[in-house]
Amino acid sequence: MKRITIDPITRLEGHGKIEIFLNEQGDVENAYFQIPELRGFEKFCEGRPAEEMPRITPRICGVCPEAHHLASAKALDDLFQVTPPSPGKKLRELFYCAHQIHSHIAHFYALAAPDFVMGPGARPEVRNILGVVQKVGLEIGGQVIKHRAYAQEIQATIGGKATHPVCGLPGGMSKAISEAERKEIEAKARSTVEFALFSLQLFRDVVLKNQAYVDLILSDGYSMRTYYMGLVDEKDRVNFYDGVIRVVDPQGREVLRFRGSEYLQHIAEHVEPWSYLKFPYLKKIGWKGFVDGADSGVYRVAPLARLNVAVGMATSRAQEAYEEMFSTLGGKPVHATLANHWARLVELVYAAERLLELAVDPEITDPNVRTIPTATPREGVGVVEAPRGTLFHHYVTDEKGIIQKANLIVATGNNHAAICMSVKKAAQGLIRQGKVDDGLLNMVEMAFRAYDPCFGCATHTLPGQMPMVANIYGPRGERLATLRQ
Amino acid sequence: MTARIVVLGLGNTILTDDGAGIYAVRRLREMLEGGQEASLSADLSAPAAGADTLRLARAPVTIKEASLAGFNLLDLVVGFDVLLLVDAMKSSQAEVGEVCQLAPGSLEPTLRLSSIHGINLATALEFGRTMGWKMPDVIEIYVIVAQDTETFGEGCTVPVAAAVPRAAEILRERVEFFLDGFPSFPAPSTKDTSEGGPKTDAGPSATTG
Repeated sequence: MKRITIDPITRLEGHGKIEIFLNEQGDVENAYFQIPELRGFEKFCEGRPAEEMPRITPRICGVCPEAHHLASAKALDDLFQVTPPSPGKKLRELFYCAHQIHSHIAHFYALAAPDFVMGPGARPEVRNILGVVQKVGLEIGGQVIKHRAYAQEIQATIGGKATHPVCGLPGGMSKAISEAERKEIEAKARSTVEFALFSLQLFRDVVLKNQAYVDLILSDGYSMRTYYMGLVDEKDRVNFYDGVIRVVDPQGREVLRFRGSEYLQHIAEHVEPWSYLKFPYLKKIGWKGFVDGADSGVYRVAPLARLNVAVGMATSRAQEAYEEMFSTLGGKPVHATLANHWARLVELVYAAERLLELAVDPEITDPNVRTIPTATPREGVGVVEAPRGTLFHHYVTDEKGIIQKANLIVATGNNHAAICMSVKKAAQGLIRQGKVDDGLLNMVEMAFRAYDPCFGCATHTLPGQMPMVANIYGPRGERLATLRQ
Repeated sequence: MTARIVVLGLGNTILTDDGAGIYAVRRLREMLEGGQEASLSADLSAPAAGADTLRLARAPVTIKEASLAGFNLLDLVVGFDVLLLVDAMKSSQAEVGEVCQLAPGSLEPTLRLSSIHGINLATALEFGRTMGWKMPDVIEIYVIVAQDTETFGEGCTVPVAAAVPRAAEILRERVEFFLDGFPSFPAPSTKDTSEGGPKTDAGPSATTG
């Protein structure tokens, strides 16, 4: 049998490609970040029963299928004009807290910690989770895996299976949980609260006690003054599962507040010839190019954005962590992209505390988890906060509930313009007069890790990572250099 | 003791050829269940380790399919002696529809991380070893060379669909090879090793290129 290797060319084809164009002086004129888009999703959905969408859409991504599942289930609620009963809604939220916990733990320990525990200048071979575990000890590694597994098990208990769940239906959930299951979830939730607080303490010890890291987080190269978007509850606190969408300006003032179903009135998508993926922006402000500031409609989502738009957290320890973060970083809003790592841990504490609250809620084992829909379907929008930011699902059907039109705006889509701007900023900082600093891709990668972009191609697990390559071109379009990690 | 073997099909069945690895293990399951190989008659009364798992009477051959990435892959392979993995992949080194083996060491360059998707198989395996878990001693990776893995669609392109039975046949041969030829694996642990955090004795006793 023929033996082959993973082809560097096909690995790079269509993946994260950075194109940097220099002017006559050798300074950065433009920098583009191109990512692939999977083709034909809308066509694929057309003609299918809407009820299949919560099972189809999680297949888009092997990393955050649960977020798609719930956004889809909520879109079906709206489509069939049905409200889940309170126990069904709480069960969905409990399930979703477990998902956030799972995702945030993996992100912090596998992606954020390597930069800080090992140091941003550490060799790539050791700047990964293996290096982290070797440095902080196998005991902590075991705790990471244990709590990540707890979160998976809770999702499996409620969702039918840990990934690609099948629990969300229009009007609620497919089944309730038993008292025995509830007890188990409660025990896991208690342990997870402790682990979340431990993780936050680890961040304080490793990062905050090192002024160089704090300076790095707050440095201009990683800072952008943009708008922020996220879901908030009735008291304007962070909520992952439900609420209204709040948008604040670069000074932290509320500029928009709208329901998910109104998203098209407030969000438009800019198109660039070099990118398949579009660039959402705030209609009210307008598209002014890849620039930050109050005049530019570019907004950001994800953990830092959620904390920036909220007035606080709905649980006590998370609220303390929230206050500590903003007072340390100089007040709201925080524009430092790398502060996403800290915000993610504040959210981890909240998700764990909220998980526990729901696990001990007397209603949580109530078998009344679904309202059967009776209305004629037409159009529905569902919004949740995915771990990586606001996620919109929008379906239009015929009167039999057959999909005519489907539109999704995913978290990374919302952040797309900002990610491109971060790339440009890194390029401008590290390319001067035609001289390219070796740290360019490293800086770009650190910004990427903060956003944790999700390119909807996660199931391509053999190539396995988003390979990064940067082509640098001169003023006449001639290629001057290619950098690879 | 015979080897504990897991055959893992990876991919996404709604992205055209990307589902080829999953179709290959489904085909393998049919072949084994269908009695085409008498010595591998399936014992379906055995306790199932999951809806997508098939245990055979003669040895714990486990067939799994997954549209997953990252740490989740670790959960699927921990505790086994032999991992046979099949996935679709684009390549300029072979024709569309060819079934190839990935050369040893091919995963090494992917150890770097740039997003959550970067926690790939190689990293997951190395992490498991670091944690002292029983990771497969033998890993063979088969790839079905794909034409289109970016368009939403069910079913493969014609040349890739034709390759699926060939891939399944190769997997069947490899399963037999490991059942017959590697008698020196340690006894199976009685612990359930499917939940991602188990500790079993490593005890690697056989390796192969």
